[in-house]
Amino acid sequence: MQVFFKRVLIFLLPFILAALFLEIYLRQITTSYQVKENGLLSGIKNIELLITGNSHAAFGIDPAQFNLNAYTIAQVNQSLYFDKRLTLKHLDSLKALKFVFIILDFHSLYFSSQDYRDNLSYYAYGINYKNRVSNLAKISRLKGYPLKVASSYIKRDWSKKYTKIGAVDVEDGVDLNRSIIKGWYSYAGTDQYGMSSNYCETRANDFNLLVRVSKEKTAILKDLEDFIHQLMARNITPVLITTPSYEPYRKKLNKKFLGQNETDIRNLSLKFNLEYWNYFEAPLSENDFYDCDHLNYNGAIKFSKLLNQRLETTFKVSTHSN
Amino acid sequence: MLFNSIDFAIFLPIVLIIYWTMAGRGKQAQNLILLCSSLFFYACWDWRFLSLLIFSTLLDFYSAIKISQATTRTYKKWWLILSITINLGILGVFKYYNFFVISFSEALSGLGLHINFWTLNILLPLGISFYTFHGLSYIIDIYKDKILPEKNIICYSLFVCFFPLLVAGPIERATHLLPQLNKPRRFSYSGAVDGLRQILWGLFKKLVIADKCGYYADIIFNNSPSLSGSTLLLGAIFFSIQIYSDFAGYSDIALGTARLFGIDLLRNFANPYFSRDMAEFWRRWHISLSTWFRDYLYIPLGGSKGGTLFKIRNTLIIFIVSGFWHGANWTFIFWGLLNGLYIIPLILSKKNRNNLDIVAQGKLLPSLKELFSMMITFFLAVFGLVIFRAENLSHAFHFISTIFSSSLFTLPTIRSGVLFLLLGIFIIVEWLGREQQYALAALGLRWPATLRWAAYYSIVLAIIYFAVAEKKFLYFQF
Repeated sequence: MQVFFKRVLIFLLPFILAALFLEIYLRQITTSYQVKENGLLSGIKNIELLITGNSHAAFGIDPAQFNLNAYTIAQVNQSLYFDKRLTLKHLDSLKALKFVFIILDFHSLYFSSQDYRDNLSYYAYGINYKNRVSNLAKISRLKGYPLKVASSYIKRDWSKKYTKIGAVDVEDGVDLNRSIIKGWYSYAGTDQYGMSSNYCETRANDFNLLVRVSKEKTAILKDLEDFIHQLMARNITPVLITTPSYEPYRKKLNKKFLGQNETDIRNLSLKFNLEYWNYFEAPLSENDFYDCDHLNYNGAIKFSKLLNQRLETTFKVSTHSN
Repeated sequence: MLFNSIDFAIFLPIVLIIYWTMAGRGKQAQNLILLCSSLFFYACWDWRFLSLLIFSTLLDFYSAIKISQATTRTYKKWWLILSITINLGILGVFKYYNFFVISFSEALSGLGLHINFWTLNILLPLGISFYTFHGLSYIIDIYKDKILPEKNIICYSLFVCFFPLLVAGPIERATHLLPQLNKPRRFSYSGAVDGLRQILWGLFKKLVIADKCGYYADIIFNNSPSLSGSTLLLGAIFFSIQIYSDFAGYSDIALGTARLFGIDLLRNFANPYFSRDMAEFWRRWHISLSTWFRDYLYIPLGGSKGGTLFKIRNTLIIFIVSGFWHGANWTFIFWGLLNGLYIIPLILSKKNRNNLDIVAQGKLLPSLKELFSMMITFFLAVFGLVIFRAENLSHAFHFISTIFSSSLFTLPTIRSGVLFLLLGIFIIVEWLGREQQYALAALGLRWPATLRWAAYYSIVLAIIYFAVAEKKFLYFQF
């Protein structure tokens, strides 16, 4: 028996050492979640506009284009569940906060888990998705990150290409030569495959499927209403926004679901007397997109300027607090 | 706790070390350690359903004692019926209640009657179909005087709850497992090494082959309306390989894990895709379930004792019930029915027991006739599994009709060279090991240790490289 355990241990030794190394290494590397959280905390008292949302907002809205002091906590695949909890977590410290952009896209009301990113959110923000983060994942990064993700982060860290942006978890295609400012980083240029009809169709089908099979809408809407209540109770104005998309992709989305989604958002805006700015069909050019549903650097600046202008005219705000 | 999780990689060595360290204290200590570990293993999924598992175990334990103590046939039968009713009742409520209510409601609305029934919003307790069948086989065997009731509650509870088989089988028989639990286990070096090799191969099947095929199968099945016939055919093949590798991989891990504790479990798969007809396929696919239905349904129904029509009726019944066992959906029932229909020509021509041996036994390659038969059998199974995987029957029929359209002769949209390479390696290893209990059983045993270790390291590295995330085993949902 001892011989067996000894041999198994010898066999596994390289893997145990590698696992230890990975565990220690993964604790050292910086993710965009940590950069965003640190950035938020450093200027929290002066933030007047908080941008929440998923990747459409994370890449598509540049806080620097607003006259108000803005900051984005939007993140890839971030659900309303996390938007709410992350905002509420800091609400007491956000003394100057006047507006919160809540991004409601085609799929926003239909998902709450962010897959393995639930763990990334836990590590950076301490938000435990529905108390489902396992105890082991809480103490071990090796458990929290899928192995492929962990190894890609380490590979990226070694490549030194991510030094300027300061985070190793950003999506492929992101402009690595610009650092994260006010929580924002962007896609560079346009990805031809991401604009192809094949990709548009696959992407739209993924979202159609998500909307079709999801049973979360009622719970998500209820949670969102509570979020809006809490913001309004503090005289903070939520603004509901749908981000722009590329036409061929839009055409592949299920019309019935699209109509229902718009009705749901409009009902919400009526119920709370909120502004709803629907830019889903905004007339942006092909060059403004990175792929069929994400704006690139130029597109984000254009779109953010539009939002800033509308914010100014609707709410008569033009003074930069800083 | 999944077999392919870090949690299990920590849990297993701890239990193993405690178990073998305490081995000197006898079978009672060994069984107690395994039972506590098994209950902890189950509680890690959802501790609330632990009470259901314990209730079901105690029910069968006491029913068995009562049956054996009964002095009259009526009293004996009464306890049998009570146990079966409660067991199937629990299974029915958790697994089939909504299906019956919705189907009944739809049938009534077809007649113009619109009645709203309550449906339940409940989780299916993990492994309920498996541990219920464990208990049922035990009770029926006691009733038929095939075995004596187990008097030791720990030993019996372990028979039902032993963690390697608790959530997805194999569905054990008391005659096979209880005698092993009633003897102290002694450590066997070769047995433990063999167990590890089987676990390694099971992990490869699950994490590399099943999950990789599953990734493409999901894309193809979810986007089937916009894909060509050739791509759908590829999707159907990917799913067929996925479900086999997933479940057979799970079974290999379960059997290998049990072997580490000195316990042999029933074999569940014997290379079903190398079968030459559908009857042989069903003798090699999910063996513990097929034999369960044979012994506890087919034979009590009269088996093959009557005429041909009688035999066909019984065959269709067990296939439909077997389909329904997989889940409360018409797709599973039709899948069962279709497989029953596949067998009928073999029964009529009395060829259903033609291929009892292993294909091309002792040879490197099959004959052309054998190859052709295997291909036909494989595609029959593939079309059945399209129905199994589809969201509903209309999805399945649309999927199959698109396969047989002119777009079958176009190039598939999805072409993954890496996956085809992996599948090639996988099929070769499985083919070479088809005469063994599992594919790796004899592979490399005579190689120098360094070469053998290099092979093991390659498999481990492939698992690490290709494993995307901890994905659940498909059969956990049944």
